[in-house]
Amino acid sequence: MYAVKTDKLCKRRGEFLLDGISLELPKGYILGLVGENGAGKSTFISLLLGMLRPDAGSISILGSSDNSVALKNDIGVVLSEPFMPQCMNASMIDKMYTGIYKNWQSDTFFRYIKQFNVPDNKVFSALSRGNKMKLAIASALSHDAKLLILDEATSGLDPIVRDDILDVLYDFTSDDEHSILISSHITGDLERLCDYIAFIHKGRIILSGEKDEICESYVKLSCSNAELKSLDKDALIGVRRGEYSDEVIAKRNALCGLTGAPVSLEELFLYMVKYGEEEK
Amino acid sequence: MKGLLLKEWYLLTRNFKSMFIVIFIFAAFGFFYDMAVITIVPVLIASVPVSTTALDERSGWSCYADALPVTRKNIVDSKYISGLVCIFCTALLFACVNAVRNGISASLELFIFQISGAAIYLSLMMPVVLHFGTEKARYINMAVIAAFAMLVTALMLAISDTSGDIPFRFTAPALLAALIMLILSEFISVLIYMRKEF
Repeated sequence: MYAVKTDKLCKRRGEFLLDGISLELPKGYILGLVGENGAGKSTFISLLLGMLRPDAGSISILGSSDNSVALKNDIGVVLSEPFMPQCMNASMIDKMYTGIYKNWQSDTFFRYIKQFNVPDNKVFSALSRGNKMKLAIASALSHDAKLLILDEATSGLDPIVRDDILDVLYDFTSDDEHSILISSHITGDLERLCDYIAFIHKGRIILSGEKDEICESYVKLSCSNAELKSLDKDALIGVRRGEYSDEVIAKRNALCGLTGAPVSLEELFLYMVKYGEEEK
Repeated sequence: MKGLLLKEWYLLTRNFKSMFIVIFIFAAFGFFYDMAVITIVPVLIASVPVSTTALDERSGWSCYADALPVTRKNIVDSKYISGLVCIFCTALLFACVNAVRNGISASLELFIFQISGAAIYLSLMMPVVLHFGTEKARYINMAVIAAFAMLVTALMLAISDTSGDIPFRFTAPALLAALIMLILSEFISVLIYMRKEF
């Protein structure tokens, strides 16, 4: 059973085209979306939440494709900009959500507000971006959601709070029924948190799969021009040209006797998108 | 829906305090003097949902609300309900003030006439605002208010009897017209909002 399943999802917005996104997030797992600004992460998330209508393809969330009120009760959402009426404080937000979410839990909400050190007497407009984000995350975690959809939820937070929030998110998926789809620029967070990763670039998925499998499948190595030529071209992900040697990320199974170092998600994405394209 | 109405209430009480003060000043003036401008005040109050929609757009709430377990019809209806409550309360206040000066019968007619006029304005503006967005609809809003002020004044002059009161036979058609326009307007607004993308 999938928490999120999309099939050949397409959406054109002006010049931009989200092109045939097929992704699967099994229940109980965390999927991280990695992509540069304007890659299509937010458009994809807007399609999932019904804010945009797809031009083609299908979406299934928690086994349902109808975007109903009942389904949205099971989804916790944090968008890239924390959107909330500017004049409301935490107590007002709590009362408002009590009338919106079927399973709203005020005690959980205020527990998170306290844990994240969000001032509960200040109105939303007076909070810092980090505190606004924390308040939005607390809201998403306080109505017994089965799926969290987080768009750049950890951006704007200091490392300590980010660490706290990652712990909370990790705990959230200790229940097999709970899943998270998270997009972020901070690949370190995704590397720590996610079970599955998808790279999105110019509206297309360029790589997706289990995080550990992806990280094990690629290596980074420094090699001379001659060594570079000996590598299978199809196995090269990207080459960063240097004066004396080149830095390469390649598929592990195509090393031809060369040895490589483990690769991080950030390096892999950078080499795929930047140095891979330069090479082409 | 309850949560959305509560949100509207918070927006109203936090952002439009000065407007409420102005209403009470007008009401106080109305107690001492006969002021024709008072007739149009509930129409001005009917623009409150237009203003709260602008606040929603500016804060990004319009987009975020789509991710919450509420239907788009709920979102549109919360605007109409909050607008009608504002209109009703303001018209009631002025009716009470008028009752002290001119008696209950004349006040009831004015009350119904004010409610009808303001509801017609709300019915005209909400689909425009939801279709064009509050920025683009601003000029249309100003034009509608100006046209409305002239129309209501002309109508009042035309139908008022020698004592200046609105004959009762005009209030029922006005109320009926307002009701029909409200139902049509809500239907059109929901259709417009359902087609929106955020």
